Amino acid sequence: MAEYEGDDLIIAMGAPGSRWSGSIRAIQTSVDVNTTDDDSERIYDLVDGEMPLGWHRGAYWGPYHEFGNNFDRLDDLTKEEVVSEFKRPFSNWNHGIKIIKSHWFSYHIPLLREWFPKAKLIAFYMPDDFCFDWWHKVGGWNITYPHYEWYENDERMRLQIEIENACIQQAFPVLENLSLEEIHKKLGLSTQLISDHEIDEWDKKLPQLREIFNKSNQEVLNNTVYRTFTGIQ
Amino acid sequence: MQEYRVEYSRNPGNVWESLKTLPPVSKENYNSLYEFSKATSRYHFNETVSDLESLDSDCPAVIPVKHFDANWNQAVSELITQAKPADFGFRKTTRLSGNNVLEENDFRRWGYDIDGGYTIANRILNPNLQEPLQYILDCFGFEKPGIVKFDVQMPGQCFYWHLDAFGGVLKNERGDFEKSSTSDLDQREVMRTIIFLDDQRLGQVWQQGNLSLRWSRGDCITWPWRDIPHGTCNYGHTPRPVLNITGKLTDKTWDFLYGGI
Repeated sequence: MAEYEGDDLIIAMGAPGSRWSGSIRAIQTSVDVNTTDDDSERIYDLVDGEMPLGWHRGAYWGPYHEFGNNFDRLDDLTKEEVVSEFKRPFSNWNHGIKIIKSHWFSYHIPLLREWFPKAKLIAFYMPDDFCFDWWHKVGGWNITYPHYEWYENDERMRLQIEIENACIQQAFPVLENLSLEEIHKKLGLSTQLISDHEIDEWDKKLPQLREIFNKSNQEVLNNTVYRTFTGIQ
Repeated sequence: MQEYRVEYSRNPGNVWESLKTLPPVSKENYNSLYEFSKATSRYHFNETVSDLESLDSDCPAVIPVKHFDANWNQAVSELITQAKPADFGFRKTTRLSGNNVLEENDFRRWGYDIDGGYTIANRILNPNLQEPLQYILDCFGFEKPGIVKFDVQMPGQCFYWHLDAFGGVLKNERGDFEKSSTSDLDQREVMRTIIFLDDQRLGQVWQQGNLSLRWSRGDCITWPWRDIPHGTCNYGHTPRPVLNITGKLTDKTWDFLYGGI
């Protein structure tokens, strides 16, 4: 049997506060993406006045999480163990492109590329100070999902954001604003989105954003991805 | 270098919306304002490349906005008499020390005589504008307070080849480049625009990237401020007046750019 090379994977990474979750959610509107890792327990939003902040959805992998508890030392695991962990949250793994997201992927980019030569790697970047401030704005240590215990305190959070960002900048020489269509094309995904009706059923956040900004789904999604520097390999 | 006559076949709103931004870099690694700014520019910095094609790209060397026309001659004549030489000492009062140190390093390295009277233009900061010049400012609908300058480049003055860093405009948000402003993360949030208040005369030069502009009285331009190097000089015989407006965009600005006004 041919070795699994990750041709149905998008491996996503970004430091806390990089606004990666919103971007990933927007990317998941392509008809090609499998979002069967969604679960009513795997959600976090914050409303700041009338402004909804945070858009955490679906599985995250890493220490203190349901999945990928040892992903801070990915190099101590085997590829088979990692793939098995990838699959666990999906109720149906056998269709579409799966987006696997973990802050700890940033520390292991060469290894991930070696294991999954046919996967797309996507990284989200914002400057260190921005990430730290934004993460706090979205709730900081009060964020209930995903989980940040591994970062321990503000001092370590600042340090790890710096490290994760440095790893991303080293591995992704081009980090730029991209439209949703550009991202979908670079990821090899269909640019056809699920219908507006399906979007509203799928995630209640989008109708909220649409109303607040008085914009279409397409405009809201585009603005969401464009504001964060993105690199794709 | 190619000559480019300012014209309005492209919608400035669409062009401005298409702009991209490179992530900020730390100033710690730089002792030159030009090199620091260049690190976040998407321009090619190659003298042999034609920039006419750039006008249809997401990194255009210049973006014509609109042609204004009204009788502002008397107002401009009066402003010209009030404008004062903008030397390095004058210009650094609006910025913070780190920015000034980097720029001074550049001047000294390049041989500009900043101790002996090098001036970029004669300038009035936040001039008291009368109609119809106030109308032009109002069209843009920038978030207040914007920065308005009346600049008149007198014969013999030149504005050195540079990239905009907006060290004065954005200092409240970023300090002395200690933090990123939101405009550093998305350059579309802030715009500098120039309105030429007189026809181009012989000996007056405005270069955007590899384009030498040909302008007429009333032409209004902007450019991706983080990307496009530019410089100007007046080796002619007559003053070259412009209105120089910088501000954060609002919905009104976008409406104006898209042609709603």
